Amino acid sequence: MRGEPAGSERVGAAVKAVEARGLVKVYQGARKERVRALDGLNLTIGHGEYLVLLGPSGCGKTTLLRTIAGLEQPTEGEVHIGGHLANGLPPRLRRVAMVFQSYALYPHKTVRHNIEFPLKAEHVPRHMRERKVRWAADLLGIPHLLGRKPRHLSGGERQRVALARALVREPAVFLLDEPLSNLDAKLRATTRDELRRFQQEIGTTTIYVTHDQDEAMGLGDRVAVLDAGRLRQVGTPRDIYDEPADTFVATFVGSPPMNLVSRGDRLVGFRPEHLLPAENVAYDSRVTMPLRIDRIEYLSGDRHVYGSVTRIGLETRVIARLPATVITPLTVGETHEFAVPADRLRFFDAEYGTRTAPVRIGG
Amino acid sequence: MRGVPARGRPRAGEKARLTDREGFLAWAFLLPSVVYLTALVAAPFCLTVAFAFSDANSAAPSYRFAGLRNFRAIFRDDVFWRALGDTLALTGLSMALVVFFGMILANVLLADFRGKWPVRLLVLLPWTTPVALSAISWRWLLDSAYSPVDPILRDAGVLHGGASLLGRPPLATASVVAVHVWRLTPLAAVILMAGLAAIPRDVGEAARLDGAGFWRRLFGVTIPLTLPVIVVAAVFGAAVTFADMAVVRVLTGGGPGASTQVLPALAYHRGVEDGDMGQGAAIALFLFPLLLAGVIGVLRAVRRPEDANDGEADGEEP
Amino acid sequence: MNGVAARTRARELDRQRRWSVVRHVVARAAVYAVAAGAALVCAAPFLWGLVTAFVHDRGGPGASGGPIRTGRAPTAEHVRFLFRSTPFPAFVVNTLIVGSLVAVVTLALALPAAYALARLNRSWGTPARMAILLVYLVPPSLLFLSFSRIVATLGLADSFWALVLVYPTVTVPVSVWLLTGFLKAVPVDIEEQAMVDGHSRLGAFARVVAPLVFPGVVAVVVLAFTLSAGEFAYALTFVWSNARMPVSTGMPARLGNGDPLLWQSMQGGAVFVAVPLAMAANLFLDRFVAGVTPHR
Ligand SMILES: Nc1ncnc2c1ncn2[C@@H]1O[C@H](COP(=O)(O)OP(=O)(O)O)[C@@H](O)[C@H]1O
Ligand SMILES: [Mg+2]
Repeated sequence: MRGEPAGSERVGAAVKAVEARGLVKVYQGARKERVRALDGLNLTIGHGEYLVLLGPSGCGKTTLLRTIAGLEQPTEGEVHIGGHLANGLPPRLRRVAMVFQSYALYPHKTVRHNIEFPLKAEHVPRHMRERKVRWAADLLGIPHLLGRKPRHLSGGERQRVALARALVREPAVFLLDEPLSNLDAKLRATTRDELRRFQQEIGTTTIYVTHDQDEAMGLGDRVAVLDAGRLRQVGTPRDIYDEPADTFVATFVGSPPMNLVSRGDRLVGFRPEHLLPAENVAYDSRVTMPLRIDRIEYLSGDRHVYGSVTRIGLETRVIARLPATVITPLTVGETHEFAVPADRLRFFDAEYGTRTAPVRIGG
Repeated sequence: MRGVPARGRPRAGEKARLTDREGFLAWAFLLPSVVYLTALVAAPFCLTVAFAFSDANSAAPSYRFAGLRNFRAIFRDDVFWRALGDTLALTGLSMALVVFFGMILANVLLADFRGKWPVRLLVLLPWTTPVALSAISWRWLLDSAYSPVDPILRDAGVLHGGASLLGRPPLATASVVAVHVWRLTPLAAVILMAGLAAIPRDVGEAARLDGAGFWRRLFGVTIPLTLPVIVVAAVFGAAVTFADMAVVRVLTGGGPGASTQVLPALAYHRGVEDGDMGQGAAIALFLFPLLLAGVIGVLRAVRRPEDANDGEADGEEP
Repeated sequence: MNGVAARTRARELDRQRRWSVVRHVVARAAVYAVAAGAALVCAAPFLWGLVTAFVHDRGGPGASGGPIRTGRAPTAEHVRFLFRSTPFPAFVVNTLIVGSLVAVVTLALALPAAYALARLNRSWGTPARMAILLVYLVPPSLLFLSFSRIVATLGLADSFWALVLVYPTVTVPVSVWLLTGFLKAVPVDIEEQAMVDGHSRLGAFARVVAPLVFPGVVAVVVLAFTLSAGEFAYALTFVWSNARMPVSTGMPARLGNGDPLLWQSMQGGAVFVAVPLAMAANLFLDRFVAGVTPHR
């Protein structure tokens, strides 16, 4: 199983780029109530890795990035960067660069001065600064914008400027906080590819935060799923999708989400695309169940079938996604026999939601 | 549906009322203020100009055109030139100090610390207290039989003989500046707090991540971004300072020997106490060019810094 | 990684860590020091006034010794004197009356004007807002001479009605500016909802918008009170009878003769006026800052 916390992974001879050990961050909110934004989080990121941090909003993603960057001090736990303890070090000594959700460009400075600012702070000599600004601008395709101010840039252009500013310092780690969320849908798709290509070119360790599962699954070497300040699972996109560590991951990833049917002290889970009319599933190892159809939606050729199943557990509303190749006629109101290949069933503890060993289900 | 036909349709019988028309409302709402301010600011201003060219006095309230006589009289008057110079110097010096201390105070008041409420209360005292009362309290503190400052200065050898603190020209001037700075720093701090709070938090943090230390953040990010607000605070403070006569009147009475005389107090002295309204008005008019400069300053400041000097070649170097 | 290099770097980082702890402590200490210092300096004359208002009078000016005679219990004699034998209570009452009337007039003029500038989109909205604010920069000292003539002509000489007439020229411009900020913060949707529900523009304003900007209204009342209590030039020129003066000119006028007993009483009076005003302003400081902040 890949779902174990990353901190317990064997830390070999190689020094990790970033390590979080038992991070806890408690905010003192307004009216004295406490918010546990991070709740004992362990995470390890190798050199040159592209880790995507996925989770619903408010789960503590931004807090984790800010703690790694040194903008927040953790209430408990340790941050290690490049093998050295970073707790108590100010941001400027950590060699991390962060691209904020808002991009946080200096509104009164031109693009050139924005990009140059970190270099000036490091007292880089003038000719070196010019070379590096040009290099970063060329890399991101923005040399023509150097004389402009941020107000006169489009969202995509601002984002590139923010990246260029992060880049010139040659940081050990890039932290990107939902960098695409301010872009329109079309730009988002192209920029996503560019970001990935760009990282492969530079090879810098990157932590990329998003609440969008398509972005996460499309981008990451590994994806870490976060919920309520805890790490739920770390793994390849494929692991996350096919072998969810618990019911949170199972229902958060995938759209429509995984169906969960209560059966005794277990939950039986299966993806909508694996629930098909029985005649379309190989006879030998399958689990069948009658499905009473309430509603059918046609979405780009697929049929989404809504209804409730019985027999394998308590009566539960489920969704089946039938690809265009499945042509079995179905009508609303009828009860049809559906089936799931037995190896596609996942089992979870009904009380804690954690993954458990498979159970035999007859039929 | 069919039972209530009138409901579904616009009520055609009823005309759109006057109160629904935006153009009319805008005027109706704005007009009282405009009329009031015009009548009670523009009219007296014109009257002041008229007085300045007349020989009006409080004894004979008739109006006779006197040409430039009042101006010629005050130009020949040493006290006027002293007062003009003092007003400018006082205002300039006070504002520099007010902006400096106001910036520090604003940053502190925005920080988190225990006991903020009482600190804020005490810090607001100078601003909210009627200035004449503050001046009384200061005079009591600095220059009276009960002053704790007086004996300290005497022990230190700064003061000797019969003269008291406010009886010595340089010290008296310094005291007037001090009271103005004391009084206006909280106001400037409140205005600057608004400006500082408007800087996006991300931008300040980006600067920290970019490796900028405290001073570089201050001069490279914070001050440029709050510059318009700084100008507004300074101009408002200056307008209050250079038009103020209460501090000087109560604290030093313009003395010793007209060494702390300022234009407004002089205008009052000539125009009301001496009864020469023409000359008083002429003196008061000299406040106007300064006021105009302030207005222009504000107007330029409220243009956003992001817009200014756009696309200009980059020549700046720290 | 090379072991020696790693250890050197670790030591360097440890040094930096300690250094940043020191910096943090110093910064916190500086915040507290500046806050305490500022509070002390700002309150200094009043603190001293408060102390002297309750100590025994030393027996006339020119007596030797420290400013305070120690060893005697505090006395309320000066405060009693202030309220019984001086016109101070009359000054306070005059100030309160003038302040309240000015606040009412200010609101009546400024709230509609601010609404017009914030909501009813006219091309002249922004220039008009600027122009009104700039009126605030015209100082009373430029106008008081001609005003004294106008006031005399209107038969308001030596009456606080003159102050009620004139003070809104000072308070209205700032209040319009502040209230425009507050009104812009009220979502237009709420008002449009009321209009869809059958109210006229005016009705929507009175029933929905005005209650929502109540904090701004209170801030304006506090401001109008503070400004009119603090004004000096007009009060000095228009009102000269003791019984009709407000605090700001009444107290200095009575102190012209340097009777120390009176001085000590007056110090108590100054604190008595200063503290409530500062309290009111403190309650609304955050709202005030919010109203001043430009809405981007
Ligand atoms: N400065 C703060 N003060 C109090 N609570 C905060 C603060 N910052 C974040 N939080 C709370 O911490 C939780 C995690 O926030 P955040 O890390 O911003 O979530 P995400 O970026 O995943 O959307 C939220 O519940 C949020 O309300
Ligand atoms: Mg976030």
